[in-house]
Amino acid sequence: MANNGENPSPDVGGKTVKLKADDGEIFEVEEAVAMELQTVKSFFDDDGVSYDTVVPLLNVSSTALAKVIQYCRRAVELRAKSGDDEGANEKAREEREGLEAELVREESDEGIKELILAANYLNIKDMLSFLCRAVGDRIKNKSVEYVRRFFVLENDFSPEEEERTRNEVAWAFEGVDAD
Amino acid sequence: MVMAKELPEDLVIKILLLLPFVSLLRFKSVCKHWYALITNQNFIAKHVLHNKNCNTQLLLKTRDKANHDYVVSTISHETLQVSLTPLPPPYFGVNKEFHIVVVGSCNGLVCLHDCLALHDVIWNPATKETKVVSKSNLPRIVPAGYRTRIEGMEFGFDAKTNDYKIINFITISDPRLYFCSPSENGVIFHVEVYSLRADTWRKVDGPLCFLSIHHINPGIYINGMASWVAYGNGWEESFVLSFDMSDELFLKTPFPDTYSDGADKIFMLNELIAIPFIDEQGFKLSYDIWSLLKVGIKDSWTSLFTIGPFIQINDSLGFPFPLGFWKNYTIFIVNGQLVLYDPSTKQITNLQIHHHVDKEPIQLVTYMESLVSLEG
Repeated sequence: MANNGENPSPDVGGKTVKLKADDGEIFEVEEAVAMELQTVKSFFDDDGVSYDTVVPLLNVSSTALAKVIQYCRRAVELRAKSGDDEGANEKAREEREGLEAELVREESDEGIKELILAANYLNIKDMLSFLCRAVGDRIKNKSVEYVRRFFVLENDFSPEEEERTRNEVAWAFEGVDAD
Repeated sequence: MVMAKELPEDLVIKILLLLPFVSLLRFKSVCKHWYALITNQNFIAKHVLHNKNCNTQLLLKTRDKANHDYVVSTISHETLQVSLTPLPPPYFGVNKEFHIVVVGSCNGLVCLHDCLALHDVIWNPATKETKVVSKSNLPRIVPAGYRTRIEGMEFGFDAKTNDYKIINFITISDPRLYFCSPSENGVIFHVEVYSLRADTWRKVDGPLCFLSIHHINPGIYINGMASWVAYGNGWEESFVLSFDMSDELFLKTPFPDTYSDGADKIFMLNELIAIPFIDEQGFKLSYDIWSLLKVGIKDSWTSLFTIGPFIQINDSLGFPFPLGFWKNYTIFIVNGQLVLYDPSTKQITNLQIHHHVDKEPIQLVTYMESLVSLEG
């Protein structure tokens, strides 16, 4: 498959790893970045697996994988920048937070769920953490109906049960965002 | 058609743990499974832990200048914004015969004590659940003419049994004795502990000592241990008395050598016991703040800083006194009104809280909202 135009050429130096998304698209990624994905790291930690082996990521779409790689690449760069200097650390932290915000800002609900599922499957702790927080922020002021749609949940309360449950904490329903 | 994606349960729980409690209360109505998830006590305990730091607030009890009503407010730990909270049902109405004291707060539960009716109420201001705790009917020998008094109270959590407990430190004494030592015959001591799980009071062995007189400063509860300022044979023998909520054992920590007396308040600072020792110099008063790094170890007292000197406000109000710490070592002080004092900049901020100062002192406790339920 065609090499994603964003990937650097292997001549940049240092090993690269090939990752294959669910639609067969292959991403060539620097080793340091690929190892951010614990699932990929475990794949190679197994005895005898050569770095030339293409890693099949059956549960990740190419759209999601592209975004994950982009995020991890920036995260690795930022981590290299921080060290003992508090000022540099602070700046790196701010940049990382900006990166995280940018990643989720334009994302639809389906898109953000796809990213969370990818981060979960690929076992990227930091990314999963901030994505959960982003979803939390997104839904915390939303209505019950919005949350049902988001999480694909059926309302299995009877009308009487639902009314009773709502009335238990009627005041919690004030000030909810419009859908 | 692409199916909308579903998230696995462990991710759903991860997300729910990050939500503010008011969102969780609303989302109980999403479906039966979420109702069960959100009301599960294990989930609630995890949520409390997750949100401990960002949810911290302060609970303030004051009495209104104009109508003498009790006012409970929560103060945001971040912004100092004050929100009024209605008192729980047993204290509704304009019956001015209540005399309410905040015993303590932990994990989102608040314990109130009515000094007239002598009963306690455990209350969750967030879910509005309340439970009236029946008076202790443990047998006490009260010689004729003797006076029974609850010297100190605290409210806390026993992590080993997942139980909330109230501890009452009671003395039965001969009112004719102006002053007596704890070992004299004029005093009988009782320590009683209430367990929410068992819904009963129980007697516990306690030390023979008096607690600092201010019943409106019941004590402090930090990480499983309740503490008070106590004294034995006179003020010279002052110490910190601590009670472990799980083991139900007492621990004594003598005051640092430089101070054998001169403290009647105990606060929390950075999850440690902090005491403002009084330093009186003529017409001025300062408070030397010391922190106890390890309960029971006298050598672990550490001197932090001094606030003051202060002069008397007037004859009836006396000297300004500290009420507790806020963030970055800033301290709440009552000097006729409630203010926030920054020792590093010496800046004073008035919190604009109307209060009937003469009648009754202000109480301030650390509080956090939670969904913890009063049922089992």
